[in-house]
Amino acid sequence: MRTEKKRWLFWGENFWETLGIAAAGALGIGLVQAGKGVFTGNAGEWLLLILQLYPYYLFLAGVFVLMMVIIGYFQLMISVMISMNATRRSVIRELWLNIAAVNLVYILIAALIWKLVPGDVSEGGLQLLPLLGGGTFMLSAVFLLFGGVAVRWGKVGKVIFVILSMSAGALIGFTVAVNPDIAELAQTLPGNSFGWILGLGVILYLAAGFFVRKMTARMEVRV
Amino acid sequence: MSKLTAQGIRKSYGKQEVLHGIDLELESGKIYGLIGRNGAGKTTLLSILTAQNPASAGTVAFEGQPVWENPSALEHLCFSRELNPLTGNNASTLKVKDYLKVAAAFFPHWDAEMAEQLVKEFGLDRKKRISKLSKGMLSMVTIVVALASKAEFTFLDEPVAGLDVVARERFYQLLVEEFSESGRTFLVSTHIIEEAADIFEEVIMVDQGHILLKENTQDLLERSYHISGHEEEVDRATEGMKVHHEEHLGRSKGVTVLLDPGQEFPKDCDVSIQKPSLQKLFVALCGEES
Repeated sequence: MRTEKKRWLFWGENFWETLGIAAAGALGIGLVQAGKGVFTGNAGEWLLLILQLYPYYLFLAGVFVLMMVIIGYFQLMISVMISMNATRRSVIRELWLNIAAVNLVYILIAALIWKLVPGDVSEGGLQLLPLLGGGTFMLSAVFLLFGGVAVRWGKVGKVIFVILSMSAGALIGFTVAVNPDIAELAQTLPGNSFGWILGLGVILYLAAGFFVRKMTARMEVRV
Repeated sequence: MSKLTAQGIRKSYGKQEVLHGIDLELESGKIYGLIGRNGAGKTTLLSILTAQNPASAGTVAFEGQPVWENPSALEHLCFSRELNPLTGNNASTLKVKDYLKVAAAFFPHWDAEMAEQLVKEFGLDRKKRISKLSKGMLSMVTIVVALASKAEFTFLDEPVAGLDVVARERFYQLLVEEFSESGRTFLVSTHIIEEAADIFEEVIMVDQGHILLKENTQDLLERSYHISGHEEEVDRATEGMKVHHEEHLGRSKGVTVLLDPGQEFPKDCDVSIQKPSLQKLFVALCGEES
């Protein structure tokens, strides 16, 4: 079997595994919510609501799964792949593509469900979809950068990165908290105004790929 | 005939330089032995030759193409390194089957049938995590990857560490069989020198980050001698020669010498002249503490 085909199969398997775990995790969240008695009404209404909420659960579970997958690759698999003659460039590129594909599928699944399942939740979901999609791309970018920083600067890098990320998150949260107008404004924006967030997320993801490639260009293998 | 050439290889970790300007040329169709003391730089050298770690200076080229980040050069190489379950998060958390799956995906000439046969022969449990394997089993995983990679230049780092004598003999047998069938080049780093000496066509000795010598094994042994006797006689017999590893016992002395072309021992010296084994020669050349 040609090498390219074998590698496609390898990454394909990883793609489906990541998606499967996220999908299962989302279902788990839904079942937990159902168990808590969140959903009322008859079985039909109940099922309809879970379906409408499923994409939110998918994004939530999906982000955690992506975090574990990305960190796992940087801690473990990338070194193993380089020890098996993969170039650093190709491994980072293929990982980046793999994660991008997973993100796109999250967005597609959400869009499909919300288009097909009628209801207020679906309509609201479609409006928020660019925000959710942009958010997962941004977080994926952060996870990739974290991995690259860890490879390049080790434990010190990781600590500094975590401190900076937490500070940035705290600053954003604090800004919104002390400026209620911002929060209100966000709620009144029509759906297509969130498109810029999706665009920003994709741009940040592209930039993360570039920087991670630079940071891992002379990565040493530790198997 | 393919060649893997390293020129001016230097490697530093912080301020400490561990490889000092190494030049090395490896030709196809040979089995090389790489021997050196712990910390001599063997693994570092092998990892640089196969682009698994960057050199601080110098170049490595396969058939004139740089090896670093070059898939068309890398596809001819395989470095099956010693797996250490104590090195934290890396390969040791994978199961054997997952580790071999990565190998199958990334080595372009991977022989799945051979890998399967070797796994069965060695009795490896594919579902076991690498961190749970015994030292001998870890060596076997290394050997499976090296042999099944079918890479033109295959480097094995301490492949027999932890193997019992029966398993070691079987490894040497497999290596020679594979070499005879495919003509692949193997470079085996080992501390168990005497067992492996018979299969090494050339031996490379590394000492404190330098290549001490790279020579045909038979030629090297032919010009190696251990001279012993009365101190004065030994000094007379080895006058003008570079001696290694002097041993003193009272007024007696023993030294190891490597004769240069044209050098001979004087005929009238009352000394005992013996042929050292490769291991004894290695100890003589590298055994002095710095």
